[in-house]
Amino acid sequence: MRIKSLTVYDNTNMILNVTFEDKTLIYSQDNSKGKTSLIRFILYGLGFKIASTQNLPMKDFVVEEVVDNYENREIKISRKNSEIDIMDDGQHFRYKANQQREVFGHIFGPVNSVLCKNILGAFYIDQDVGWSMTNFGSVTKSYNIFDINDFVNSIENIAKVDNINERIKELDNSIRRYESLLTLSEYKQEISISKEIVPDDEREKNNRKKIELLTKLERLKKQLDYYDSALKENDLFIKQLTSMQIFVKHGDNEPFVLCEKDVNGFTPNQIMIKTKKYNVLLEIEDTKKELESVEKELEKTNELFKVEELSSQIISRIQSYDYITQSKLIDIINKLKEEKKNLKKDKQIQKSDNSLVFISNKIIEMSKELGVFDDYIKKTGGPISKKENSLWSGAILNKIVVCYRCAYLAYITNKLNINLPIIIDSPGANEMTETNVNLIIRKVFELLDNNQIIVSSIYPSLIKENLFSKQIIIRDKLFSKNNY
Amino acid sequence: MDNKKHLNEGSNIRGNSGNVFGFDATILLFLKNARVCNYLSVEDADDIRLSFKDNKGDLFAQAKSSFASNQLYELDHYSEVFKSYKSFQRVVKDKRNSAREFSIVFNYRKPFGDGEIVFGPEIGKYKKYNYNDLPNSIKQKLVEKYDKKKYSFDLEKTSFTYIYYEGDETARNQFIIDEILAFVNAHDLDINPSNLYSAWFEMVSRSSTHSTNRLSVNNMIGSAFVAAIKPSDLLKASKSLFEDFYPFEESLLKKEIRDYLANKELDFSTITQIKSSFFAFYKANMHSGMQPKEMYLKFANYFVLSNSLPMFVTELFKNETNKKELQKAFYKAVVYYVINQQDMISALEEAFGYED
Repeated sequence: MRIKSLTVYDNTNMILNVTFEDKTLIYSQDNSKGKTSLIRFILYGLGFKIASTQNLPMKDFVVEEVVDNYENREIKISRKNSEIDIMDDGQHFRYKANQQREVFGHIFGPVNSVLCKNILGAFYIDQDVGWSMTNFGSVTKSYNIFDINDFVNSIENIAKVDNINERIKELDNSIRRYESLLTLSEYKQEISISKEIVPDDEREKNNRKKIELLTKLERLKKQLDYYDSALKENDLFIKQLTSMQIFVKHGDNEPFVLCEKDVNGFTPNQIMIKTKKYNVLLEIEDTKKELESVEKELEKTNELFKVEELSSQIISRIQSYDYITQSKLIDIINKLKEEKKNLKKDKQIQKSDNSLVFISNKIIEMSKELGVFDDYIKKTGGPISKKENSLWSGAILNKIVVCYRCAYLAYITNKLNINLPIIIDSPGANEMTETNVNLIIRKVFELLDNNQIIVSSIYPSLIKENLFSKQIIIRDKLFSKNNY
Repeated sequence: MDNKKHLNEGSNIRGNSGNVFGFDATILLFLKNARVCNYLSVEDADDIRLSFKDNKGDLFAQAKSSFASNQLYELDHYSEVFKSYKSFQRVVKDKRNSAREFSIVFNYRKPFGDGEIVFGPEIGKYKKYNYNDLPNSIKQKLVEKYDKKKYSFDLEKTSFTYIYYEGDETARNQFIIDEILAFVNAHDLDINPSNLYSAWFEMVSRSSTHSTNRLSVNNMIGSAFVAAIKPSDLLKASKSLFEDFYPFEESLLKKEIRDYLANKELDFSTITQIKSSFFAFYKANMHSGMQPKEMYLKFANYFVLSNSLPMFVTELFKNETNKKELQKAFYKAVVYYVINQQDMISALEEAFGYED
């Protein structure tokens, strides 16, 4: 699989268009020029849930990405916020961003939900948190995590891990519920119950109204988004059409270049959508006003309403059920926690498992070459023991992190027959010398000769040595015209 | 100003119902200039302004009304109106855009004092006088109220529009609805005039409270587009598409169509595809004697059979046993709707003299 190009539009204006080759370096002389943003745009465009870098809200842009997918077929992915359009094999598909399995299906091939969650950690090293993630933990600051057991199971034994994860989720919910009950019942002992509370019809009515209005507002906002994206898409369509500068001749008339005004019905159509949007905006305005007045009413009634009294009443009710005693609650919670622990153990893959042996061997192979095996990995019992990353730091950890990623990619190639790209953001950010970075990159090139490699860096020697077939140089800022 | 206030039924202050004469007057002026104007605005509910496509000056109008329309409109009030024209002109800083007309819209039966023209049903529900059309006696009275030192506008550019209605604001609203009906009929538009009136009234009244209160003619035409969409008509016309379905499936289809019409908009590339296909279909069948709606239906059948279903359609009815048939029927309704809508857009463009 290969990432071929990335285009970013602000409204309908193209503000970024870059192409990638097999070995691509994203370079800027100083930090904070936009290398990380560019990489995050790549991942966002592939459909991953990615947090924006400062001042660059990705959801406001249209991101278009062309990739050669798992079958080496060129596909085009176009993402605007939660809308993802894919052109694959001459067919158009539209998804919501949360339909990750469907989206990734076009890019990475048939994947299950567990692999969807873990795949990013296999090929991407994030500038902020990626340099300390080996076999468990956060892949990006928010949203994406990696667990080697889930990762391997998702490829080897999906049914098992899917069931276990589902059950763990249920258990987490139950544990949270019982713990809340426990806290409430503990709290009960500290307060005394005062007088009975009169049911407050007005308050109830306002609360219901508030929920109703909030739901309505949500619906209207969705509608607004819908009209916005319809307007933008149509604009984009017409821009693309007119940018082709088609020369048209009709009958005996003089030929002319096709412009927006020549496309019959386009502007009125847009006006109609704009009016619908305007009507929705008015409705939103009204709903907000109504909500404000309901909230004011609620505030008034709340002042009269003694929250403390209400809470003690609730607590006393909980206490009145004699089968919910503190000791029973503690008992239940412990049992649930025990079950969760056992399930996690069940998920854990034995070290003798073929997959883990394969990954371990790859890690050992590369770590030896990078000089971090004998004194480090070997001393802590070999790779894939528990959270080893806490044992190492600085340049050592960085080197080890790269070994793990390369091993995961080699494993994916071995099992799924796909060569995923590796995307490395800013090696050398943590106490690593330029020489070390150079060494690491060279090793990655050797080990992943068939994979696309995208690296971002501020080290000029990477440019000088002509390792990369393509260099994207950010001179000013990411969206500045002076670049590249 | 004080004596003006008690006469005016609500020019400066919204009436209890928020139903203001000035908004109706704005809609009326827009209707009378629909094909030539390009912007309109109303401030404080009685200062109206229309700009024109030819860019040869704006129309400034004052809306004056009284609950007691039989009352005299005292001549002193004209000085007030003239003053307001002056303030209008101050707004027009760009000298090239000088005013083309200063108008006053009112419901007073005796707007020019005792012994002069008395308006009423015998004259008609709507009458407009330009200054030069007025009898000399009235002209003389107006000249007396016109202080050359104070006002810079040309008296000859003034005009006086009278509207007659018997009763309260409901009658006045009905008068405007009737005017809209006449417009709609004259241009053979299939729009419910009351719906269009409500949409325009809402738009005009809302804009009057906004700081940037200028409405473009596109806003008004856009409202007409939206008012022209009637899901119930579509459902009725599409009845033949549902003949083969059980009642529960029919209601399922109707629900999806209603949802679609309420929330969705086809992308323009698909619309153009449908339109061009319809254009060819129309050319081939224009002499067949088919009524438009019958032709739309025939085309919808033809189009859906000869094209694959788009994704937003194939995502529907997934759990139904005859999902294919349901999807096709739904898409036919959408295609029918698109053609109907595009036809309506063309008719509206024509009616409002709209040019891209």
